[in-house]
Amino acid sequence: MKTTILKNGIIYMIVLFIIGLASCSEDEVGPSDETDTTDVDTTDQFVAKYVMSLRTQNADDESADYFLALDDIMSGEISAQGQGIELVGWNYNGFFGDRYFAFGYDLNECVGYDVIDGALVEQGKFVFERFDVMNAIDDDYFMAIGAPWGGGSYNCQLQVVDINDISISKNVQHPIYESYYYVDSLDMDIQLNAWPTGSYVDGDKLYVAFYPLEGASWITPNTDTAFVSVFSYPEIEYIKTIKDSRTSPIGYYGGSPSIIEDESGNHYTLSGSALSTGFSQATKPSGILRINAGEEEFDPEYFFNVEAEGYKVISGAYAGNGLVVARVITPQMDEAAADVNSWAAFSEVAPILNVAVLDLNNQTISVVNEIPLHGGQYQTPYLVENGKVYVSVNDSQEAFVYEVDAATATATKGAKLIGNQFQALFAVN
Amino acid sequence: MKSILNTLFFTFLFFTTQTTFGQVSGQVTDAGGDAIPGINIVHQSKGTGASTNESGKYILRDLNKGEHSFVVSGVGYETQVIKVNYKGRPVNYDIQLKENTTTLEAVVVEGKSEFTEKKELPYAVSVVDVKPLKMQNLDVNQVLGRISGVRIREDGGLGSNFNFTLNGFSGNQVKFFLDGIPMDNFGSSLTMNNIPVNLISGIEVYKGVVPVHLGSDALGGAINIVTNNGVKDYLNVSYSFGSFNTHRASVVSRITNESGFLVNANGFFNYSDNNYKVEVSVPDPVSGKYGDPEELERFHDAYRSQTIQLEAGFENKKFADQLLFGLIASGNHKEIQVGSNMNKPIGEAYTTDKAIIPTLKYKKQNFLTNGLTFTMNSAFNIRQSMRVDTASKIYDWYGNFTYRGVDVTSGEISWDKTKFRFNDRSVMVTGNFIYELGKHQTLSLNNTYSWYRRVGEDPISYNAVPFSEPNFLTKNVTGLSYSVNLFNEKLRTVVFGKWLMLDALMREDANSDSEFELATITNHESYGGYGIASTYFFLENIQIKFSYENTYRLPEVYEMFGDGLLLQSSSNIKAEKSQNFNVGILGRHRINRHEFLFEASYLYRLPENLIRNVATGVTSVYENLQSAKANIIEGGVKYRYSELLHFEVNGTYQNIVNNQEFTSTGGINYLYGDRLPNTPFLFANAQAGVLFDKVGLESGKLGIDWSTQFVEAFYLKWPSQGSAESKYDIPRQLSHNLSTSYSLEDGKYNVSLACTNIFDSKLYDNFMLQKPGRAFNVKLSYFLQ
Repeated sequence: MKTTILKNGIIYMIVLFIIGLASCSEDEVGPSDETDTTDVDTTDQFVAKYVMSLRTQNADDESADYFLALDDIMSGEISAQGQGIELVGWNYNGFFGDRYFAFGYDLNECVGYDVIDGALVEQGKFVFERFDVMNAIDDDYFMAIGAPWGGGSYNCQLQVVDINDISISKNVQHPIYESYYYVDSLDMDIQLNAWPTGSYVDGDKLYVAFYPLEGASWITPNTDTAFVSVFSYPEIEYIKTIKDSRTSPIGYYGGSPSIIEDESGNHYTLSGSALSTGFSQATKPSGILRINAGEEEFDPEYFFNVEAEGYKVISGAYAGNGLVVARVITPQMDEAAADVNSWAAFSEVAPILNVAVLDLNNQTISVVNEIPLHGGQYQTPYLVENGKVYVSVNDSQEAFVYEVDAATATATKGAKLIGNQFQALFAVN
Repeated sequence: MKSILNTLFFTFLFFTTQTTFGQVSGQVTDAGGDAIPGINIVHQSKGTGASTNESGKYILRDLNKGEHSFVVSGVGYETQVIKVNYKGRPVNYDIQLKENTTTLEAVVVEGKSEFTEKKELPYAVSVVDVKPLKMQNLDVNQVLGRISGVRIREDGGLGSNFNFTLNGFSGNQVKFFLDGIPMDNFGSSLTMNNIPVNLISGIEVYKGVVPVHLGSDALGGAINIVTNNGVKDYLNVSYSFGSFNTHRASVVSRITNESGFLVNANGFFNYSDNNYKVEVSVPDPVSGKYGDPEELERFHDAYRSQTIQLEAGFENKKFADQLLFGLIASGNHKEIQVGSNMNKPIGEAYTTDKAIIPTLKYKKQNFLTNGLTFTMNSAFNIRQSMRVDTASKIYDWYGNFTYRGVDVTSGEISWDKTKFRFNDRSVMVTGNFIYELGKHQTLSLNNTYSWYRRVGEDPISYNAVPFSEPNFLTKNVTGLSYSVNLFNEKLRTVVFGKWLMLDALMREDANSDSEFELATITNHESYGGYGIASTYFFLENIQIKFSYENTYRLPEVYEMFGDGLLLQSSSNIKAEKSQNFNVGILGRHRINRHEFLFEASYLYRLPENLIRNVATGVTSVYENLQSAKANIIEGGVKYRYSELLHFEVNGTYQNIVNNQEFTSTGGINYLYGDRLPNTPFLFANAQAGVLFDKVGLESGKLGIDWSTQFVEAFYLKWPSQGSAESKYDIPRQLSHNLSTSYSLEDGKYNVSLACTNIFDSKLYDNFMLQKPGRAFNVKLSYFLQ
């Protein structure tokens, strides 16, 4: 009997304990806080001169990018082993004002960093819905355009991001181009999607380059015209779309630099007409057009037919004195690569591209022979510093930093990347 | 609620005629000579049998001439094995059972139940006897999660997506079977997270080598769920309810007629709102800046599933030991709460899955010739799985939404609004011959054939619909094994070979020349696998095990066919391969009322050509990319003191590293030797329980059980890269559960009260996906035999 009382006592206690748990207060046993205030190994001599985003392997579910502060990119090896800030998953990057931005697509999150005492320190972050093309406006704002994904939807998000506050300050939803239709093989009128490829602000105007897409698919039924839409700035109201039929659309998916500004504020646009960048056809030669400073039309007097010189130009950076350091591809290589993979120019390890120096004034091309055939990249980072342009070169076996001297069209091999590319390279001011 | 009641009151009435032709009969008594009702007498190899009535009497029928072994067992008594030599005339065989002085599980161990026997096989196998767990309110996933080497990573609450990992292998690398039938094609309406524990009697977990009779292309092991059998008539009704408006009901029953006609009728129903609280920071809709962290309820995460399983047929007939025709009808409806990440809550999209599966099971011993056993299982599957995503809205965690400004033709998750459904038809036939060459040698041959047809349909899409033309996948796996027992059964060895074949016919967009033309692609592959498993009893109670195999997993439908949109088809993808080595030691020891059991294993794995998803441009594709190397140590100990107390602890350490020296293009792989990311590497379980007799009423039993699970934190991305402070991880998990249960009349009436995650810890199996906090539930069940 005694044992029964004891047993029953235990039962009541257990039952009361379980019921008691139901009403007791929250008990915080949380995951470790993820603070991102990380600094890279700093020695006494270390002065951060560059910020690099290093990608170790091909983009898959397990890959991530690492933001590194570096003092030298021309010797030794650059590695994220045990160092660098992990940018979760797949990222684009930007350097606007004096701030370094990572646009992460795992979390749809933009994080801003400053270099403080030689280390990258997180300054804030915000969530975005779509960011596809990011370009500078001024020291306080940058432009981030979100493209419509899929057919039947035409509005872009034209977003102005406040660099100091690290937040979206304006979001205008408007098609980049409202009225493009084509008739498909079943005689159906299909309104095309317009995919933004680059933008710039000149005075009180915003210029946005784009290319037409079928929309539901990535087929490009119209490749015989270059397009730029003009908006008012800062209001961001659509004004018009300017066109030029001497070459193909400007730029391609993935936001590689396709608009270049020279010392006098003129802008040059690169039309690649390249099948390996996702175009389903090429009907006009690859070439460069010009929009003069303050103008709202293509300069009818200027056209650099790059393809006539034996290459297609897919992206580039302005090195000064009318010279552009660019990634180019031969039409033969382009066709062969696209037969295998219609997005071949995005593969870091498919060596199909050359680096060349383009002279905008003399309309000549000099291929940089020191740089081997190498793979392409998303967003294609170029760092321009004192007439030199730094590029990421992966010949499918190894990746290096190369320094290109635009004036002589020669290059020097720099640091070896313990990874397959850098996805961003910025100078620290 | 109405459907719960319907399921609850889903009852079956069958009138059976009594015949009295007994072949072996008798009475079971205890040491004092008193009759014991409810004792099971089960044929050791057939699994069929009888149980004693009120006066302790039993009758066994339809025996062939010859020697038969029966396992005599019942709660509270030591199990005996009796041997009967049946010569054609009725035999009277009275049995006296000793009262059990040890424990419930000791009964199982001593009696060498079906599960103990499995454990003694040469394979590396963990066997869970579910019986003792039925008093508690657990689902199959929770039971499996307590086995060493097993991790189940869940996204959320009841019905949520889960990823089963066994010694580092996951997803399709581990195969599931229900009574030996592959579950691949059953769809999401019949899976580990909705089968009630009441339906099953045990679970076999094969780590590495999978026996040939479970014909499959498993790379890293298999799980076989064994449903109740061996008991003639029973009815089990249970209902549980708990936190987050969770309800589960099940009815499991079997009726056997004297003439051998039997009916199994099972039904189960699960529902939950899953509206548990998670910590989120809600971003400002304009600026995108995060607000302060808040505890908010999940608001669109309800799950409902229901299944009815009917089987009818014959047992112990001349033409068949077992012939069963069955029909499974199941369906589920699952709301989606989270899209690609926690910043994108979903408010309207959902998935449904419906399946109708006619089945046929046949088993015959001494088929054609003496010593040959033939088993055949087949299932035809008609299945539709649908994903509905039609809202161009953006929800926040408060449950408010705004209409999309751009992407107005997109759904919440999908590129285009969709009511896309797969209409699948599949056939699976498995045939198994076991031929006993004398007492110590067995030859078995298995063939598993499956045929799969997928058609896609989307009534609201204006774009090309994936799989608008049918795609086909045919697989055939043939296995032959030879097992031999030597030295008085001290050394048991199995050698086997497997031949795997795949035939695929798929249709894909002809590279952009025309939007409307589909190209037909075919693929044929075949592979040969082989292996050996052996065990040696160097003491009566201690055995060592060794196994090696060279095995393959054939690519799955979606890896090969893609999704028709952004996931491209991969027509030349190859099978994944692995070499698995296991060594283990297993022992048990008893001193009076103390019983100890220990197990330890070392596993070495070399998987190659692992199938991984890689992106280029806007699309991605599955490729054979990675090789790995795994060193795994696991072990566990159990202790019992009589029936009163039990304690168990087990742990697993698995170091799985990248074993790919070069990249696919021949460069140096800088991640060579790095531990695989997003994979748990250290985890452990502990359980303790007490069971009191004669509580309250004379037949009342009270059990109290505690369990703790531990998983060490692991990195989301490759561990070697980036500074430790900045790296994202899945934090350490430590959770505790407590349950108490009370039963009357040998489990006839049972009530249990459980609390999971009692300290309300924030638990994560997957990056940022918070699991439920503290939850309570009550389960009532009634068991009639």
